[in-house]
Amino acid sequence: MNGFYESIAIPVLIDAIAVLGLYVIASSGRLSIGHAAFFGVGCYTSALLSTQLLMPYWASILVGALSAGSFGLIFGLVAERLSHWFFAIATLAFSVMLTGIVSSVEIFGGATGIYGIPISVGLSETLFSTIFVLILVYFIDRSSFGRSMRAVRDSEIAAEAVGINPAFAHIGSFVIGTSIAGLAGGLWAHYLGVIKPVDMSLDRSLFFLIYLAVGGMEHWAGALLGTFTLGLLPEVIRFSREYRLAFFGLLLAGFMVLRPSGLVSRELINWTSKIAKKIWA
Amino acid sequence: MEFFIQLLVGGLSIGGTYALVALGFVLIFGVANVLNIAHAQSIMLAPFFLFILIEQAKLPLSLAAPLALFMSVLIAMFVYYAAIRPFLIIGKRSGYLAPFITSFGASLFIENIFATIFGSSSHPFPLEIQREVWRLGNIIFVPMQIYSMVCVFIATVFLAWVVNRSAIGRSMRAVAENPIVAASQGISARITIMLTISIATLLAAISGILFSAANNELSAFMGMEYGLKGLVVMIIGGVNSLPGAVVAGLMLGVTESFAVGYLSSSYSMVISFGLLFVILLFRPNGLFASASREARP
Repeated sequence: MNGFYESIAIPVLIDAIAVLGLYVIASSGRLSIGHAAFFGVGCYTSALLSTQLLMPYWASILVGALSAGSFGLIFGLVAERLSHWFFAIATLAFSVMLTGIVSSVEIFGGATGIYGIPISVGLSETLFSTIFVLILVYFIDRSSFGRSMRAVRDSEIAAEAVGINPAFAHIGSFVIGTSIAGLAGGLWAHYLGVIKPVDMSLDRSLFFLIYLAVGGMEHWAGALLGTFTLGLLPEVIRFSREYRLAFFGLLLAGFMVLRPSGLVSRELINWTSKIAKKIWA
Repeated sequence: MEFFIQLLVGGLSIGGTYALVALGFVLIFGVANVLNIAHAQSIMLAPFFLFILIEQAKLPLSLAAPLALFMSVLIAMFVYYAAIRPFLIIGKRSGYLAPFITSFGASLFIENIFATIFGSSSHPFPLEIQREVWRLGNIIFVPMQIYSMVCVFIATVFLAWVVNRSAIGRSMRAVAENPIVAASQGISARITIMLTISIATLLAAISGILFSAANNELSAFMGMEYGLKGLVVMIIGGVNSLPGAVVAGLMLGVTESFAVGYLSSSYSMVISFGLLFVILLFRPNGLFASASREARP
């Protein structure tokens, strides 16, 4: 029975890590619909390092995260000139292209993927990584870089006027976000032991986006809450897999119309912290 | 040489259909200042309605085709009311991401509802398609490609006439320029946007029927597949340029056709998106960029 709960908890935690990465990207006003591509870069890099070079799993996961980050850097530099929507479309195009390359190149195993990756990530490693990423995101949020990201999100012109370089904030947040996605990918590869091009497909990117949009893009708690509710709820109530994407699409549209800030909004955070202070005092 | 010409003709015919999709995106983006992803689903809806009306309801083509176009426009209107209109209220500020995400959600919903009802595998196109080929010396022409090019040409000329010469086109250009000033001249932005979406949906519906007739298949996921190509074409052409969309569409079609002909069919997606990134590197605003336009406040 314990194994059953682990098999639900670990994928949700790994998703939560990737969605936290997406949250960092969204903090600078960018939206990525190809987040799973960078997840996939982490997957494949770490899997190849573990199976071909026999590196220890933690080292290959770290290198996977770094390589996802460098892919993010290249992409961010090329796509920097695009304005918001078209940046999102470019990430989508990039992810489709990368999936196409991966599934047709020999060394990545084609459509069957890579087998025999040492299974070395359990619940404790996943939990540790989640907490590590959470602390990282928390401190990025509070740092001056985090403030400059949010300033660029709210108004690029105003941010430039106070001496913030929007390109630096955009690309920096994209590199951090994609590295976190790569970390999640590496964990996923070493949890499952086998990876396929499906793991970096559009569906996964969409799930990440929906988790974040429903949870809320204004606070890291939104990323966690969105992933946990939408990731766990269908498992708990045994919701049909067939209808899940259709339902999520409806949910995404409905949430954006009725409550554009998502479950966790700035006001909610301010309100709860005020209440907490009152109780404390 | 014969092979080259065949690839060129094939590329131009598929590129023309990409251009129609991209033109719809450019129109909606120009007039409503919203990137309406759900527009991609019109590509899938029209042939599906045609399939339902001909296979299940046994209607003749002359009745089924206009009805299918009308039903896709109806769905597009519904999406507009549910997903885009709430964000167009003047004076109400919403982030530029919100209408984008809602239209994305609507697109996802439509796609997966059709996938669950009709299955995720592909169906044959309901009409008989002429299979024998025309020969001109050593060059082989597939008739469907020629029909498709003719359809695309007529649709493009019609669109050019609507945008540049008709009253609808004038109001479209006025709203695109400035909706508030247009309103002060008695042009309703809402009605203009609805008309624009209808015209764009018609273009996408025609291109969708041409796509599925050319490949003799229709699936619930073809909307996103071709819609993505249309978006790539839109970016290559420089987001708000109608001629740019046409040129970029033909360019993408020809490039893809040569890639499939001389390299391998599995690289078609890679080539088209590779082209996007190469062009973004050298011309970041697209090929036909006018002054780049920021989101309206």
